[in-house]
Amino acid sequence: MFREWVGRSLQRRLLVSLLLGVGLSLAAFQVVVDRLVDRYIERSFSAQAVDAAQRDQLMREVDVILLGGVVTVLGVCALVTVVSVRQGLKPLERVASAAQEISIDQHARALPLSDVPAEIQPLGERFNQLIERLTDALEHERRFGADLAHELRTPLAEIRTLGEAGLARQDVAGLHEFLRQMTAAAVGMQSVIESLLAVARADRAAVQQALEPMSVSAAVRSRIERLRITAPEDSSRIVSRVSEGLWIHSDPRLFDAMLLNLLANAMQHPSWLARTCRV
Amino acid sequence: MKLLIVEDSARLSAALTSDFRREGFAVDHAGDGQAALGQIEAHEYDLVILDLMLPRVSGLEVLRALRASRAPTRVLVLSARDQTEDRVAALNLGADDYLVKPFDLSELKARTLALLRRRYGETSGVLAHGELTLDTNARLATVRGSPLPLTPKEYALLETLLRHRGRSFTRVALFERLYDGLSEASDRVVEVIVSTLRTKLASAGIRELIETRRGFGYRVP
Repeated sequence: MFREWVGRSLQRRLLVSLLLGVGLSLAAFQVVVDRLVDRYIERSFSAQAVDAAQRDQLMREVDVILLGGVVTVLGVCALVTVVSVRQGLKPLERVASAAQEISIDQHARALPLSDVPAEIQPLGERFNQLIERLTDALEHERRFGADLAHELRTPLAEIRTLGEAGLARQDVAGLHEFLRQMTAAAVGMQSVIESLLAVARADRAAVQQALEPMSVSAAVRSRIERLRITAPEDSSRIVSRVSEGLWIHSDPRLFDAMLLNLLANAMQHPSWLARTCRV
Repeated sequence: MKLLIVEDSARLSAALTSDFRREGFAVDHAGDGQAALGQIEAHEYDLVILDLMLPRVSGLEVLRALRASRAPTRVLVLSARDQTEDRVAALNLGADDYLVKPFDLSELKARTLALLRRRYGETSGVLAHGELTLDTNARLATVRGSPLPLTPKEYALLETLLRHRGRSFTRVALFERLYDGLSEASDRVVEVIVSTLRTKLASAGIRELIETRRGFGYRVP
C-alpha cells in the first residue's frame, strides 16, 4: 500500500527520502550528543572542578561534533535524495528508449506508461495521443494512395490499350472511334479522381461536419437533374424512384459528394446492371 | 486460336477484342463472371484473359470453376490488384500468368503467345512442315524463306492444322476455332478459306498440304 502510494509520484519519493535522511541524521546526532553529555558529567564528577581551559576544550569538541553532524545530515540527505530520484526516473529511461524505437514507416507503438512517475504521466498520455493521431493520419494517407492507384489502374489501362491498339489501325473511322473511347476513358478517370478527393475531403471534415436537417428526396432529385445536364448520355440510363418526405440529419455538401460518387460508379458499370436509383 | 476476354470494362475489352481479332484470333467477350462461366461451359477456349474484380461472380470463382472442370485452357489474369497476396492467390488457384493493369499491349500479346505455346507443348515460336514455316510470334508464314501473304483467318486455319498435325477437323470444328461466338458468318466460310489457302500454297509450290477426308474434315498429315 505504502509502496504504491510512494512509487508513482516523484514528489512523494523526494518527501520520503528527505524525511528518511533527516530522521537518520537526527538519530545519529542524538547518539553523539548523549555521548558528549555523558563525558562532560563524568569529567565534572571525577575532577570535582572544571577549569576554564578544559571547559573551552570541551566546547570546541561540541562545536566540531555539531558541525560534523550537520555535514553528515546534509550528506545523508543528499545521498538518499540522489538514490531515490534515480530510482524514480528509471522508468523515464525506458520511455526514452521506447520513443527512440518508434518508426514513422511502421505501425507506431504507444509509449509504456505503467510505471512512469505520476507527474510525467499526462505528458506521456498526450504524446501517445499524438502518436495515435499521427498513425491514423499516415494510415489514411496510405489507404488513400492505395485506393487512388487501384481505381486509376483500369481507366489508365483503357487509355493505354486504346492508344496502342488504335495506332495499329489503318481505317480512319475505327481510329476515330478509338479516340472517342479514349476521351471517354479520360473523363471516367477524372471522375474517379474527383470522387476519391471528395472522399478524402469528407474523411478530413468528419470531425467538423455541419449537420442539419435536410430532405433526401430533394437532394437526390437535384443531383440527378444536374447529372442530366453535365452527363446527358450516361445519366439518361438512370431511373429514379424517390419517395417523398424523407428527412435526415446530415452535411448537405458531403451527402451530395457521396451521392455523386455512387451515381458516377453506377453509370460506369456495364449495361447488364439496372441503374435504378431507389430512395 | 480461340480466346475469351473476361473484363467488365467495356472500353478495355473492346480495344483488346479488336486488336486480337485483327491478329486472327477468334475472340469472345464476357462482361461479368456469370457470363464467363456460361461461355466456358459452351466453348473450348485456348486461353482466357481474366479480370479478378467482376460483377456477379468474381474472377477467382471463375478460375476455380474452370480448374474444377479440368479444361486444358490457359488463364492469364489481368487485374488492377497489384498486391503480392492477390498474385499468389490467383496463381495458387491455377492461373498460368498474372499481369497488372495498366499494361503494355505488346507484353500482353507476348505472354498470350507464350501461354499458347505452352498449351501445345511447344518450346519455340516456329511451326515447320517441309519448306513451309510458320512464325507464331510474328504470325507470319514463309515458304523457302519468302513470305506467303495470308489473311489472318487463312493464317489461323493453317496454324491450327499444323499445330495438330494428323488430326482431322470438321468444318464446324474449324469454324468454332476461327470465329467468335457472336459471328453471323456461316460455317461454309471455312470451305472458302481452305480453298484460297490451297491456291496460295500451290502458287508457292506447296501442293496437297491440306487433305480432305470425306466425313472427317480437313487435316495436315
